[in-house]
Amino acid sequence: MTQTANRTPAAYDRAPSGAHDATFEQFWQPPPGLRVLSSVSHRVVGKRFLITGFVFFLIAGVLALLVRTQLIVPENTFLDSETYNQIFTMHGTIMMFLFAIPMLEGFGIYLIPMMVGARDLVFPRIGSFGYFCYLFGGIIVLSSFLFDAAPDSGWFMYVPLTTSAHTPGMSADFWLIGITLAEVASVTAAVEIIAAILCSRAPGMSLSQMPILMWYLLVTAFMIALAFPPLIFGTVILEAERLLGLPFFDPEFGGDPVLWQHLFWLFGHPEVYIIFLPAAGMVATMLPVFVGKPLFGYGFAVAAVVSMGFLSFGLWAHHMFATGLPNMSLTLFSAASTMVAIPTGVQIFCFVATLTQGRPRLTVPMHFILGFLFIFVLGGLTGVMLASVPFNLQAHDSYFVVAHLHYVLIGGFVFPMFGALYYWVPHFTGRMMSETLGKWVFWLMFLGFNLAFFMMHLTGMRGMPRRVATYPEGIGWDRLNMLSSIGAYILAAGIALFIVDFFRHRWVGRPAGRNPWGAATLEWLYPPRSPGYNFRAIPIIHSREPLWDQPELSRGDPAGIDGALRAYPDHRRETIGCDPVSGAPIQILRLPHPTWFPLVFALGLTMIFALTLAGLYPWTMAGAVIALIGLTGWIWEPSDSGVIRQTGVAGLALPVNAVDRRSHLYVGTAGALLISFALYASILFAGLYLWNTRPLAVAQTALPEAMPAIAALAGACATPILAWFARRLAGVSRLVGAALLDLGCALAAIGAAFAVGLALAPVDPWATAFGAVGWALGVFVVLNLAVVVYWALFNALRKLAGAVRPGQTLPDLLLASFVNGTALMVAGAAVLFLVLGRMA
Amino acid sequence: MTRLVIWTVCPILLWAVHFGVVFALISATCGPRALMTPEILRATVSLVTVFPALGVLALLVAAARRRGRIVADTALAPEASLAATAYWTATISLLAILLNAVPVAVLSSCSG
Amino acid sequence: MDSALGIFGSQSWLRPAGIGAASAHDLTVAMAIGLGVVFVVVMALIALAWRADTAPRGWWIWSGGVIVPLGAILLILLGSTMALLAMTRAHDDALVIDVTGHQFWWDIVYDPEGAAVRDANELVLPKDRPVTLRLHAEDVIHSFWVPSISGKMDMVPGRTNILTLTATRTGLFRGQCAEFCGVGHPRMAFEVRVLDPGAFDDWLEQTGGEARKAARPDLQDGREVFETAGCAACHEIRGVAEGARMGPDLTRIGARRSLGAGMWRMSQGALAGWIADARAMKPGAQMPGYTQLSGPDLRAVSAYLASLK
Repeated sequence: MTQTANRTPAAYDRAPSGAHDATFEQFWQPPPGLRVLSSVSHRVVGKRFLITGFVFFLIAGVLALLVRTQLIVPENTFLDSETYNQIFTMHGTIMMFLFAIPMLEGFGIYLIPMMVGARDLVFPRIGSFGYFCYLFGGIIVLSSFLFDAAPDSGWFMYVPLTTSAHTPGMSADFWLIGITLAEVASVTAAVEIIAAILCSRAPGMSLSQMPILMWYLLVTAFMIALAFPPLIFGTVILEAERLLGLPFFDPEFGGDPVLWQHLFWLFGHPEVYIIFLPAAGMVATMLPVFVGKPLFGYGFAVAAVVSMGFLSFGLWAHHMFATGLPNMSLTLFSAASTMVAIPTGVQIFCFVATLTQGRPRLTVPMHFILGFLFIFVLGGLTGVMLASVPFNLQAHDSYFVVAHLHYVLIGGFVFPMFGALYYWVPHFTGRMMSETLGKWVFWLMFLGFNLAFFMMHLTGMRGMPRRVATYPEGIGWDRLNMLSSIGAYILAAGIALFIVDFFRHRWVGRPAGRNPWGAATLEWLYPPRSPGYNFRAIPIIHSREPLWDQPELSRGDPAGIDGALRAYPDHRRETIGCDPVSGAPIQILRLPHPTWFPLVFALGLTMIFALTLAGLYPWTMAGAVIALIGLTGWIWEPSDSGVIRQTGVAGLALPVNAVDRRSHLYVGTAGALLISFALYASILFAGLYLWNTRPLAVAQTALPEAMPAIAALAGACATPILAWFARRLAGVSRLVGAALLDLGCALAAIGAAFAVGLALAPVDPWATAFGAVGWALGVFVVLNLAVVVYWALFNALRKLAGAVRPGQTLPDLLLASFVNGTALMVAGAAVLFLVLGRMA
Repeated sequence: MTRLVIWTVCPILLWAVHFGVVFALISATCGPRALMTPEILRATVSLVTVFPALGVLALLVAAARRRGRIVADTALAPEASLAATAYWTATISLLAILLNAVPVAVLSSCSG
Repeated sequence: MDSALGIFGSQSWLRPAGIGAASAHDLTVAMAIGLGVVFVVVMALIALAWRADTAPRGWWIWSGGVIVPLGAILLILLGSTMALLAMTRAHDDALVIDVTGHQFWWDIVYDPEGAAVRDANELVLPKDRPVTLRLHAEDVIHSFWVPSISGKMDMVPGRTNILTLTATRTGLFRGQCAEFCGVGHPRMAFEVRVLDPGAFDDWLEQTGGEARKAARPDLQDGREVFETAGCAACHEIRGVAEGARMGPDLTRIGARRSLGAGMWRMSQGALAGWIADARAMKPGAQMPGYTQLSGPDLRAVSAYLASLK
């Protein structure tokens, strides 16, 4: 399998192992008391995401009710314009960034290991780290209310309204800094979900046998990795414009306010599908259970999901039809927008076809599924209308769009999510929620929703624009708004009843028993609540519906089911690592035990963000030091990589953490590079956009120095060569030589970084936006080089300190891959400095 | 099975590249630099549409033949759903690629 | 004081009075009916599927997922593109009007290359004559939208966007800023008056040129207050104080039907209230309150402004 596999060492002395007198149950136990904060188990972290996300949902819901109360009558004085603007801004911001995305991540983090047959995620510490970033980011955003500086420029933050000239004070900074911190959780979760689904499936679970939800989440995770970078880049340069006065969006210096809209909607449109797809995946999981037959057209649905994942990146400009794009661009985006109807149609018809296969049971989750079909189909059809340019020019920024987006998001996400909460709630409490109350919840929500939002189509057609704090009497909007507000209260009553039901059922709900819904997927193997390790032994899977087709899984004590890794010779948490395609086991994955390092890292990062917000720039260094300590402590741990252990299945012995391109760490590194490349591409997009639309300002931008750019190119070429040789030497156990090459690699990276800086020296970033984007590109590649320096030094230090044993070349493989990616980006930047400026 | 995964991703990836290229060409034509005339744009877009479309068509045929073989041979049954996926992604991608070219085909200039 | 908003004309895009609005209206009706039928059919299929107990066929997915949607989107694309081309067709003989969005009002110049008649917050259009609006923004992004006459177009700082429109019915219509632009956004409206071509020419003729002379002593006092209290730092009255562009042009303010960008019915009382404390009448208004003006001065200046027709 690998070069290390033949060596079969018994164990490495430095690698930590669990307490040798502990039982399997004991070392999977979450830590007691407050120390539970150090827990990294996906069960704990997933629940944290779900609870925090739901609390944010309630906060944003209350804000929505305030909005509806203000609009219930014309010229209402309940809220003044300033407050109203803050409230609708925070409603949108919280719903999109702090509720929808974290909620779906919570479902993903909680369910993925249980559904694919793993004992935990492959990167549990990243999950915990991401959660704290999300929590602290969310707290920063919310705390703006305390400082009377709540953001008030809309969740879309259009420039120039959000520049310091038009929004003085800190409200926009709270948004930009808090949301960027919370976005860290999104991108880390993306990498984690990709690696968990591809690399930790139960033996035998090939791609075509994954539960359908895994496909939806996999596509979603890739979309997050590609869609969030444009937004992150946008928020960073907007904050740079606010704090440093760089003219990215200032037309007087060759910037363009519309650039922000491109970057924002390059994120914003895929975002809608990022929210919708996992919810549709949950429908595709629950629906077959209540029909009692497998999903019809699994292959079709997967094709639809994969295509939607891609197509959704080609529609961003349909949010910008009124910005003055040429007719040809309008038609291109109009055509691409309508095209999404096809995969969506395929998907919906797979659901309908599944329904015909049997006599469905009308349970509470099924109510929500039917509600989803009704509302989402209607919202999808108004979406097709909005793709028509002349129609869109009327409907854009009117209440018609408000109606459409709530049909798509509430129908496409909130209804399936409530169904999913009813469906999976036994996992959290061990009890079933009430069928009677659940039906009340559904009907209140369904009727309230349709009353509130159907009317808005008509309000929009009567010309009411969005985001108005008040409206005049007598132009035909009064009664419709009154009805919308009443509908909103009814919807809220349904959600309140859900909360009542939730607390009620914890005491009096019927105990769930084993597999209460008769489901087909592995998370129902144990009677809820499953033990924290999910699987005592990891079962071998032959079917897409294992609990239906493999009777041995439903018989007897689930802890007694045959499978892999029953023995635990090292007293460590571990699970099976698989080939990403075939699902054949290839390695034993060591999983971390509880640790504080992710929290320390997240706290350090939060300090950097919060102190920047407070304007205490020198103190951010303290945050950086804490973050580095947290990170280094986290990744220092010597490993057992290369040790061979019996899996307990058919005499198969596998290496621990194999050095292999199919390993979870390699997939994780590739995921991180994907995000990095997406950021790089966002910067290039901004540069090309300004180059194309602002030729005059480009001509006024000074050219980068040629010689240093060539030096940067040379440095960029040197780093991968050094990293490659370091990996070779480490492979033949010449650790000191490898460490020296690592140091050489770090030096070359430092040299390349300085060369990039020198090349940019003549370019004044304050003079033109094009120059500022050039600097952004330089800063970004230098940051990547800084990661290379840190990583190479770290690898060298570990080798010199004896934390690495012969054959443990996984860190070298990962570093070499990351260096390759970075070198490509640096070389690309250097070539652009040499070429693009001179073409102008 | 790996081949089927590649067949699934390739067509839609081709769509993505095609969309990006068409968007860039239109922006270059209709921007202030006016880097090419509508006639050149039309020729270029036809060229960059025909090849990916033919490529996707080939993948579509390959996936369809693979599905046929799977129906005949039960040993390949686990691959059946992935073959269907490859076939359907190719179908959707082909339509989407053709649709990308529509604006250039129906409009004679940037403003119409 | 009564809000004047209700007295304005229609803001609905379902009662079109312009070429663009008519296209959008026809598309709205056609798509609402067509897609409404699709919706009902899908719901009916779900109901049928609920009762059925049979093996599904692959062609169901083909027809429901591919063929029907493809047909629908091709029809919609065709109709939309044709409508778009018709709406945006440039006319060489079109009347050119510059409109500039400010926080939170509209600066309007008719025929900027010729007569260059400046007015504010009220757009007068000739019936059946193509008009090319050149849209600009002074500070942040605004969006020009008169739903009854045409779809909207954004006003972006640093750009000039073109909106071509033709009004087809005389009457009063209401327009409103459609892009969120700050505190005053909900109160950034304007009135559109569509006149017969002859009447429009007369109106333009009458609106150009210098302001009406102050005919009575109290009006002369008012003009003096205007000149001495600092009003002229921001506002222009042609023939009295020229050059300032920060606030709306006041040369014909008395002739406008509304005050405060479509906010209040124009009257001397409203003018006096506005001058004393504009922000109380329109939150977010940039004009400072002139509470220091004495009662007689306030009366005089408001009477003077009301006389400027």
